[in-house]
Amino acid sequence: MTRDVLQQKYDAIVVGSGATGGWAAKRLSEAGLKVALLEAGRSVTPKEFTEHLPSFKLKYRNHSPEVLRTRPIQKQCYACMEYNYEWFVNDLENPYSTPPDRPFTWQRLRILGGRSLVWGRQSYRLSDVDFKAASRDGYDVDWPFAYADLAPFYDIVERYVGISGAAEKDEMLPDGQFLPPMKMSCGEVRLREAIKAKFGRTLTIGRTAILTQPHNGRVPCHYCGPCERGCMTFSYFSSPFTTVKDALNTGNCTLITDAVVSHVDMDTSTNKTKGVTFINRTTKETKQVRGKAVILCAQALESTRILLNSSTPEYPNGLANSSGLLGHYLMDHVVGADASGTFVDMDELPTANPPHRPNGIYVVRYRNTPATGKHPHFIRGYGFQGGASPRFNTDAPGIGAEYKKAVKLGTYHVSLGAFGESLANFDNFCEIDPDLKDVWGIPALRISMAHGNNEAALMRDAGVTAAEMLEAAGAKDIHVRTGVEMPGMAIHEVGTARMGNNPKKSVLNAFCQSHDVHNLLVTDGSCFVSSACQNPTLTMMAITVRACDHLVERFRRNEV
Amino acid sequence: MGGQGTERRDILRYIGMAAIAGTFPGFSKWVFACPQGHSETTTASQSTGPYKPLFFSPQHYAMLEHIAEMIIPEDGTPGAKQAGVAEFIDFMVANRVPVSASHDIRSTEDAIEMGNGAQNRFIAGLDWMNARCNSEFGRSFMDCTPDQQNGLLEELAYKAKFKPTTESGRAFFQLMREYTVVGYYTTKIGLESLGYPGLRTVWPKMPGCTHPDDPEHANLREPVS
Repeated sequence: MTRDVLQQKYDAIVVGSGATGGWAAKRLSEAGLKVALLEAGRSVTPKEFTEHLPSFKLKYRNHSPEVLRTRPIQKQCYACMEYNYEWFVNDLENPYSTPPDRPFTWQRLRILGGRSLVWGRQSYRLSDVDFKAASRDGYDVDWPFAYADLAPFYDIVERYVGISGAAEKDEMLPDGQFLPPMKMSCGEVRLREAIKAKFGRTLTIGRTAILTQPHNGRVPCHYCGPCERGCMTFSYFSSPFTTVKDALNTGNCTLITDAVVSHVDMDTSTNKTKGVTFINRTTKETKQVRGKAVILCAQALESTRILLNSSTPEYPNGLANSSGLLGHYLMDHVVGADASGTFVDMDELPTANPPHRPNGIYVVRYRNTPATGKHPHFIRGYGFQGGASPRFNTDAPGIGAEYKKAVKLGTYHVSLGAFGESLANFDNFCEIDPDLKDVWGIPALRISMAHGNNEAALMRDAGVTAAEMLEAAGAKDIHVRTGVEMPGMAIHEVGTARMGNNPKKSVLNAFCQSHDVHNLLVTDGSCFVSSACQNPTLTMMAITVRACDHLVERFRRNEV
Repeated sequence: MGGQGTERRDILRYIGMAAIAGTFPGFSKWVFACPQGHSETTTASQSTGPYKPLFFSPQHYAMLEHIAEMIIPEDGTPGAKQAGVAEFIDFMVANRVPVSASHDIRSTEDAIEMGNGAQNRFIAGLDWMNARCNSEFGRSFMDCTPDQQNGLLEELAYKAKFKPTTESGRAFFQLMREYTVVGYYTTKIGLESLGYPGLRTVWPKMPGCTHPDDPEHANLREPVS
């Protein structure tokens, strides 16, 4: 990179190029601000996408031992595989620690676009039942804004991203600006009808950031299936080919890849940030980039780590941490409850051919809602993702021609897996491990989190009610799990720099601005006050746009 | 597990039901996706001469190939032998790569243990087969008649035919079948036996429920958007 790039003083420095960083770069540069967008990893090109490559063309047929060797933690995510594992961080270079009895799995990508390259794409709005949950059940605090404040920004994000889905008029899951929904399978229609009739619960097609018609210059999905290996037609939303591209097209945004940010730099005389220090990923040289505002979008734990590593004499426990809450209230949706079964009477055969719908179904939360009332055993609730389709039955018993036939005949499989709300708890936190550094010499995190009794109660209830719903639809061979998986498995980590109106009880204000340092923002999942039970990325993007628009206003009023 | 009262009883009732159907990693939908714009040359190299086993002795390798073909025989579509399943098993076992058809291997410790353990388990299992044949029929497995071989395999494969004292044999059979199934259905031949169409261009839409006129769906309405 040229010296000029680093000598320029930017209006805003955005750290991270994923779902939220892409939006911040787009929104700020389109408003005319000069933006530096920093990404810790390399750039990405469509040439490395492998969504159409059959596994028999891979050396280990998608069983590469190299994945296990270099990504033993990342491998815990279904999306990390022989096809794409180089997009995920090398765990040997990027360590973190946990107490032995509190394991946590931290899934990370360092590449342009970050996790938006491999995300699950499910996109759901939160509702006022979520934003004002504390007012309803007395646990913890409400968010510092209401649904109506965020709704216009959900609209903006959805209109741009393209979310296919169906409106259901369910107060727990506000409808949005949808592209036409993908179609449900026969088994899913059966399940939808059965649970509406018997329980009054809503099952809808997944609301997903995948195009079902041409949209904003991108073409619709061609239903090949494995989005997590990339998409040559950019039909699912990932930031490099949408928001980041738009930002660069303004001419106002400078992309700096391979920039591993170690800390935020402070000007103590003005109590403002003056930029960030980063280490070049490959040369390991230390560099600075200067700007009038810093927006951290590195994902919750990574942004928090940067702040904890940015201590100054004025902020000895981490920058923007006068409240002492930075790193605390770490949440990740609780998973581990599911039910699966078979529709034995459905004779549709599995197929080795496309189309493969890269989307499932969603059962809207029905516990502790205004309609269902207070549950005796737990607060908050859970939603389900799942699906029903015929699949090849490699588990058929026996050998020989009989076995081959049974595989081909398949079974009509139906399943529901729960995502439950993770309660904000001060004792779930991350901090700097004094004895551990990554290969760039940056102090690493110690993450300490465990799900509690409420999460366990949610999963017990979820497993049982999932099985009841499958049974109501006539499924057989129902199998249930009601456990609690280790935190991090949902890959929905949020909450470590919570928003709030009281600077003593929160890290950020309602516009993601640090209470302590006014030209410092954190707009990724760190800012969440509660986790709700809906997939968080859509909300993170809407919050980012809201925060960035507010920042632009402050620039206009010359307050930055 | 926890809970109390009826809640707990419900859980136990459901858990008593049959096991979850699983798929192996690589036998999910994405395996069947069609190359488009990818060059054929990215294929793992196809050897021209006869395969030289990396790990197994020639005797064990011949057994492996024979048993794999018994599990997935040629029957209108090619079997395990033609799909090169024994080569796959040898390659994976030699490289200590864990392979499972019945569950996704998530835990790294499990994966390493499985990959390392497979070498001993395969050798011990093949030797067990020979020892069993020697005690039952007075000769090694490969020298038995097809009926004897098939009889033994069925005793290990079908619950109804299980015999006492064959526990180690059954465990080996499970292992052997997992590797065979993955090895077969991740090849082009195996996929074609399931109707894999090979290279194709885009699929324009997702059809959804295929019989909306069925009385079962009398109330079916398209979700409104």
